[in-house]
Amino acid sequence: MSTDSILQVSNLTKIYGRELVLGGRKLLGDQVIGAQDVSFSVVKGEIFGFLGPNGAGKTTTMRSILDYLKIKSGKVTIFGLDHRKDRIEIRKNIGYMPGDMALFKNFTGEELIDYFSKFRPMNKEFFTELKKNFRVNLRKKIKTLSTGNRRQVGLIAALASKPDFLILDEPTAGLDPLMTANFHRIIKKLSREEKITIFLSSHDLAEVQQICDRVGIIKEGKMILVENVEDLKTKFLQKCIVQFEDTSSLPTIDEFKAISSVISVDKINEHSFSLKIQEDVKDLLKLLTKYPVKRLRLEDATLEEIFLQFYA
Amino acid sequence: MVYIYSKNLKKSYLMGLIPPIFVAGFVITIAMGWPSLQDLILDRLAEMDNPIYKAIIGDMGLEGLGLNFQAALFMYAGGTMNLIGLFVSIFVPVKLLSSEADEKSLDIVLSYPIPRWRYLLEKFGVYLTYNLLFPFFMASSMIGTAVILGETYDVVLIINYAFGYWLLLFGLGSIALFCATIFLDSNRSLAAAGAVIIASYLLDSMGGLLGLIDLQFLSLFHYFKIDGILEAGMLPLGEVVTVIAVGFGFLVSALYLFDKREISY
Repeated sequence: MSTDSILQVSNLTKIYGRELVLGGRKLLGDQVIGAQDVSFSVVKGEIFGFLGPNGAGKTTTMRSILDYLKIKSGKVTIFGLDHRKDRIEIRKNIGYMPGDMALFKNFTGEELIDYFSKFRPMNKEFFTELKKNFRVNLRKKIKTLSTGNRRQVGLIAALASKPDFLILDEPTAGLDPLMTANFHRIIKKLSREEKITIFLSSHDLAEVQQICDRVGIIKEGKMILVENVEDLKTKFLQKCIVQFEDTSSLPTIDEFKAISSVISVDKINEHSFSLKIQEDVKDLLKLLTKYPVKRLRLEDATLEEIFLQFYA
Repeated sequence: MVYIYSKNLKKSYLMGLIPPIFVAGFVITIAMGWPSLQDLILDRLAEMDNPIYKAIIGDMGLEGLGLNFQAALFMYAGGTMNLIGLFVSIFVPVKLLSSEADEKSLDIVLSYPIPRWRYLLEKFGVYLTYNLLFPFFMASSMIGTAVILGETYDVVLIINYAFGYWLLLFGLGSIALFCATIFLDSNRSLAAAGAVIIASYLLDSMGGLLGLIDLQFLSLFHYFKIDGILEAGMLPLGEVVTVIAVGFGFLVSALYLFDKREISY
């Protein structure tokens, strides 16, 4: 475990439901795997993005980390403390916003934040800054607020104490673009200047690409990848567009496909090809030297394209 | 220190005040009608000795009181409180937890450094506090109207009965809370708590008719009857210990279970 690891998840497995098995035969019940052997760590001051489509296991993993769900096996430590045994101690320094967030409807935003601040004192200066950035009316009752405004109240409540570790489940879902941009700015500032650690899940790949340092991709309950966002883009997928001088001397599609790093080839027009390449471009360049190349454009794939590569 | 308790006490004052005020209003209404409807009320009181009536609305043990104003108030106010108490003790403790589970607001609350058991205990404290208003409103309205009308009344009996009623709500509420910590969601929690508490009520009220007299002691509704209080001159100690032990046992079990269980919806 890294010495500055804030969250360490080792082989976390969560299974929903129970089965009654007798003599190897299932008699009753049903089990569904929520998360299987999930391992990763989040280090101090980083923004870790947790990606996956609906039902992939993001919320299950987050709720297991927070000890809302009982895990079948594995180990979770936060600040080096056991997530179950030291539940109260850990919560003194954690801000959490659930994805399916619900607040007390009869409270006003101010009452709610004041109520929560009794358990984890708020940082008044930072709270004032948050109120300026999120333009939600905290004097209104929660039940009168729109979904987006409720989420803003939830975000302010989670951030108000300026905790060392933030766990945010799809924090920008339902926020308008202006509030989303404000949230991104605050989160980046907290991470860069205050060394606050942030673990967030998202469907929004552009968001993760924009604010996260590292990303974990979960598929069917299994963590299939944990990678630095920048490395991920270069290591996993690049797009290449190659244009040749004339049509008389062109490589065939099969020649491209014979190169192990080429994932796909599309002929754009008579002169040009579009290729998707994984990792090494050396073999491709070797092939291209045999032909009269007019233009060559190589660019990193977006996180969305990488994500689709795993989910296609 | 007790922020959850004080905040919830403030927030739920309306729901906490209405039922006891209703009981007091009922006592005052009976008292207002007493001079002109005295004969009718006493006839009704005499009819209450009928085992069928007792089976339907419960046997309050009114026999020892005779036919008088105090007995009439106990019949109406006590009978009303029994029925209100039946619903209050099922719905309120279950809703303390299940409404938050239904709305999924538990996740955010429990992400703060509060022991789960303490959170639940403080909320249950709000239920117990508002339930104190039942005996208070009942006793003060009964004594007040008796004094105004110049009727005889037994302060010790009224206060003991009222306090016994509160203990009963504690015991029944703890059972309902325990059901809520098992199931979390409203539908199943209410069904379970309702089944246990209504079965307990029916066991006491209909036990005599059904020949289940030996099993009636299993029902909390069987305790703190007026004739028992009159006989002992106070709440019978054995009954107090039984109700407190049951209530305490279920409350501790509920707190433990909630602290340890998985919060899944």
